[in-house]
Amino acid sequence: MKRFRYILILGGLSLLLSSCLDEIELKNQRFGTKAVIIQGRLILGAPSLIEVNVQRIGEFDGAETSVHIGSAKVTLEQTDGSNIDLQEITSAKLYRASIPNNHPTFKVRAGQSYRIKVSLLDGRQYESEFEPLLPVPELEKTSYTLQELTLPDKKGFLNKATYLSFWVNSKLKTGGNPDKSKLRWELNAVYRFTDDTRKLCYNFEPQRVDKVLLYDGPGLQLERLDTFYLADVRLDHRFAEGFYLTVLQESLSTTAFNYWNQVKTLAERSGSMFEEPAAKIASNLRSKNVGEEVYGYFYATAQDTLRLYIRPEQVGSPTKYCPQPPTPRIGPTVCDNCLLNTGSTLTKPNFWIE
Amino acid sequence: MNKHILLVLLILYLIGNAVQLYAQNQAPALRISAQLTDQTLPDIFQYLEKQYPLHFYYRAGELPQERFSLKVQEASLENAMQQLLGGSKFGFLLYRNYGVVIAPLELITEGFNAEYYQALETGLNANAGSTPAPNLLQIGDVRQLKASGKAKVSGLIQQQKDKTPVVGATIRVLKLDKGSVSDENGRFELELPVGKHQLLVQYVGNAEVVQDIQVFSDGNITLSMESAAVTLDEVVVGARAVDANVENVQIGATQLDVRSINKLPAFMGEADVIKSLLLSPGVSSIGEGATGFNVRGGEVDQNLVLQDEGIIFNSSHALGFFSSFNSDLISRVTLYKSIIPAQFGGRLASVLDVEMRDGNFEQFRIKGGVGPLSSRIAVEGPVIPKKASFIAGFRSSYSDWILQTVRDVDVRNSSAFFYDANLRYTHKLSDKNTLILAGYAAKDKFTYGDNFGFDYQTTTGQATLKQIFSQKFYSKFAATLSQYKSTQYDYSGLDASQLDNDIGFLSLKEQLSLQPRAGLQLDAGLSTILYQSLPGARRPLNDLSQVFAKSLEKERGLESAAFLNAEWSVSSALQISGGLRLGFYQFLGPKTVFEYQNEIPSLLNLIDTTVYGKGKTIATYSSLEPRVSARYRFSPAVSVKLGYSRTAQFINQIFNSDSPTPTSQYQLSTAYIEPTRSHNVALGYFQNFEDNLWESSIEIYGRAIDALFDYRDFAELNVNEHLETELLKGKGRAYGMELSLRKNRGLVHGMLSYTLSRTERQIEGINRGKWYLSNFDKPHDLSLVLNYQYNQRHTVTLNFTYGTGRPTTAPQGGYRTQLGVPVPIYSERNALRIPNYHRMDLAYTIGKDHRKNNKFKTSWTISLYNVYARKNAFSVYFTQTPFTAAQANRLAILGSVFPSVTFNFETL
Repeated sequence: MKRFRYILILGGLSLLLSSCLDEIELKNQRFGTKAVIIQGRLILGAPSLIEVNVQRIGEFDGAETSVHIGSAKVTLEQTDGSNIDLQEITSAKLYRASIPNNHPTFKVRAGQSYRIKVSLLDGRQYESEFEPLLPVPELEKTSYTLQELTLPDKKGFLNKATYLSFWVNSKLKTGGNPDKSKLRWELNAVYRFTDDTRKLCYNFEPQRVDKVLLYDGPGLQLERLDTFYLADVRLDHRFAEGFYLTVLQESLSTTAFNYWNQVKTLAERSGSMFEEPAAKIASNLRSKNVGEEVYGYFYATAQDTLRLYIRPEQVGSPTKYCPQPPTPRIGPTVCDNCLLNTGSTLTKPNFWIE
Repeated sequence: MNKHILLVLLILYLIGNAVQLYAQNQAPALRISAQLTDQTLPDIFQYLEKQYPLHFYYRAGELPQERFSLKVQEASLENAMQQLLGGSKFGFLLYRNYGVVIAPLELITEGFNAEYYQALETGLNANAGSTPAPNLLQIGDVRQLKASGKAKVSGLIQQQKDKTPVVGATIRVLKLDKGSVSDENGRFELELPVGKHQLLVQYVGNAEVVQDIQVFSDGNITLSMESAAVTLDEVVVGARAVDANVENVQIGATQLDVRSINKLPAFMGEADVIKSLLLSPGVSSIGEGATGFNVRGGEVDQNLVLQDEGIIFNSSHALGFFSSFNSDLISRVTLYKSIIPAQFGGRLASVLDVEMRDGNFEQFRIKGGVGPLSSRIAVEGPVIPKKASFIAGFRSSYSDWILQTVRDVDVRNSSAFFYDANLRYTHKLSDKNTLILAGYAAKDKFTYGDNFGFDYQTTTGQATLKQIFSQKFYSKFAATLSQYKSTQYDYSGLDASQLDNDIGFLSLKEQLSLQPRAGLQLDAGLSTILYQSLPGARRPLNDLSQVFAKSLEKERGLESAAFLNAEWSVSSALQISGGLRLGFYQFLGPKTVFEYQNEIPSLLNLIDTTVYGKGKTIATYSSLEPRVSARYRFSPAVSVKLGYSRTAQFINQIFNSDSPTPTSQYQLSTAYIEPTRSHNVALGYFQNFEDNLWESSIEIYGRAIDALFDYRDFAELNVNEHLETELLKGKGRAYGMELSLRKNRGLVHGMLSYTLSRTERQIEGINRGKWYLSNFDKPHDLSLVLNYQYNQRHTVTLNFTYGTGRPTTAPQGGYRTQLGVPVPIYSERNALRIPNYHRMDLAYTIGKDHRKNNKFKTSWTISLYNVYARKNAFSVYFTQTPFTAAQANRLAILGSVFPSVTFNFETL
């Protein structure tokens, strides 16, 4: 009987080792093609801004191999046929146009639809569907709370730490429009960073780019958002000298929402047996070349923005990153020169008010 | 008919004078003298009988009325008869010079084949002997011997004590390589040459019966069996004739040897009917823990799973790790792969027919087992001795103790529980009428921490009336009421919600079986099933949830069928089972039906709605389904079989995942969702060796499926009133070759099966309309089971399986959004494969002891599942974060070795 008990325990223990994940390699997991990716976004504003990336596809093996395709002709077009050409910004590897409200021939307005056309040097041509530009509901408030969470860090390891959970209050309707909006958010942070030379930098850093933050207004029952949870940001040295969170709220058309929702679905896959199968994300771009597939998406949106300043003392005055303990180092670090931080600038943002 | 009468007349004479004939056969030839004029033939025959040792046999009514003359002197009997009947339309047949049969010429000249005379001789010689041996049963009458020299023996196997029929007993004719299996009424049939034979009757739990028989003509035999501890085994089923592989007419039919189930290595020691079926060629699953099974390229919902006459919609416990059948209660398990008899319908690919057994009519018995995850118990006994019995079974899990030991909080707070219960009451209303009432209930509840959970249950009630009108005409009427309900819970977040689905049905089926003559059995009947389903209802689970409450309309469908199937032994070599099934389906109101422009379901084409009242027909479909399977036996050990069937399916399970969830809705065919239909063909070669010690077979099959659908990318299936807009219609095909080699007895015995197959679809809108692989396509599938049985109690079983990794859709490239979110670009659907699957299991079974006086029997099964702890991939998924490289990951459901011990007990 004693032996039987041991076997039972062994059986139980073995179950603990059962369901598991391992990294593997699949055969033939390469495209072997030079498919084109086109991503574009028209943002209503003063001035309105359109940016378009034209790239060649990268392999899905970890390497960031998407390659910018230059010297393309990129055009933004309205339903009435009026259009405007975008300029290539080589340093940013994109095409851009800034459209003032008083532009004589091209108006960007809510309620209008727009599309892009792209011609490559080799003659290949692409164009998107017309995308409606919808007004965005008012973003009324953003706030945060502090809490202990166990979440994966940048290396994927689970760690228990203090996080700031960010929340928003927002309307879901615009003006007299009875329909609720489909929303998407982007979080951008700017934090102050002083290096060992006492140089003061302002670091621009997108937050939670691993998450696609969406809300399907018509598909859910709330009439407005009150303290609606957006994301968690780990409390660390970034909050030691002042931290600004900028929340950008976008309105999305149904098709644009579907695109982002599919991106979100793929990003959140877990491999469960009950999970819906992955698939190609539908693009609203079409190639005029027979048989060629094109990826990416173009959409037009209006944005509302709110910023939240978090003083160090509000979050327990975290320790500054610099100075670091002396260790053998090769070359300068961010503590030697804060401009080495990606997205760092010495220019104080014009919204920075302490 | 005349021919038979003629024979009877002849044989009557021969029987009555067998001994005398023998003596006279040695005497000089008879010489006839007569001077008869203007007399009737009967008068002449009477005269000759008085004068000579002759016997004339004739039907007086058939003889001519005219008058004849016979004037012969010392003529031979043959010459005398020629003179008498010459010029008339009548002839004669002499046997050994003393028997004279008078009959029309066309019968006389037809002649009898050599087998007939050989059989006749055998029969006469047997009859001429002295008193038969005490153990010799004589069957039939040599006077009724057929021209073929063969006779059909119809038998009944029953229990000695209570005369209940023994279902699934094997009857083997020693030295003849012939055999049969008793059916659900304990009956069997054998076609045997006239003469002496020895029958060996075996049934687990009963002592072997060896019976000498002497066959003269068609006849009946009743054999009784006695319970015996000697051969009692775990599961009281053994339903294969020794030469079933070659003899059975139905190609693609697999009868599961349920006796061996408990000896197979099983996950956590839980003997499993469906998992055992996966060892058969042509049957596969997509991986461990997956619900259901795939047969010959069919989706899991293309299998009709029956428990007696009741459809089981979800035959899985614990999301698919175990099946819901309690093997202690099973009488017989038959799987029909694609070639399906006309009695069954409603599914494209297969029928899994699980027949439950009756309780003991004489004594109470208890059986049970205790395993690491679950236990089971079955109680049976008489309610009214010899007249009414019951059998009840109950299984329940208690797996939470394992979950409690896990460090992960979510797992520790999880729960996995299931139970199933069976109750069956059998009442012999009379010798010829039996009423069976059966109930079945199963429930599963699974929660994963505070995250999500499933809850599903099946409740079924059945009433069956079996009537025997005559030995060759009987009927079975069954009424079944069943309900399957499932709920999925999402506990956390703004999506906290509860999703409900259910489907219920009332089915009625009447089947008449008739044996109008030897070698022909007709099965005809009517069936109707009224379905009612709730395709989906969702409601928020708490106040924080932002989910809209939404419930789809209930749907109703009536599926009716008339069927006729004939099993005809054209000759001893050729047997045909063929029939026709006429199906008729109605999709019924009340229902609001959406109308689409040009009848193309798309939200962009939505133009109107039509409201149908209660009982109004919204859509109708009919199906004409011919079914045939033929067997030609070249020798006792070699046969070829060929089969074709047309099948139609009016209900589908909607799921867009690797495995259906318990809440994957059942969708009836509608005006937009047509029934799927399939042409199925199969051809097989079967050969046994060394007195059926070895069985081998090779079957090739092909299937062409119409109106098959698949799902749009990112289809929204739950609680979607426009479900038809998420489906894409096309066609499918499946083809393959199945090899099987089995050794039935010996110190080492077992089975090797291999399937080479392909399953594809062509759907407009998927992979640019090209043929693509189904996600359960498995080109190579191999199973090996080896049993080392070094004595009657101790068996070591090894099981090895290998299968090609199934197709999956994988990213082949990617890009990042302007903000940096990685966006993978996936391949065409199912364009890549996950790694191949292989696994080895071991089991050691210590069987029951064989002492007759021991009334409490115990046995043990010790299993090692996944011996070398291979981490077989159930699925592959891909991760890429802004901070890490893109990576393919495999999810291994069972990535370790699983030892288990199961203790079984039984009272006698």
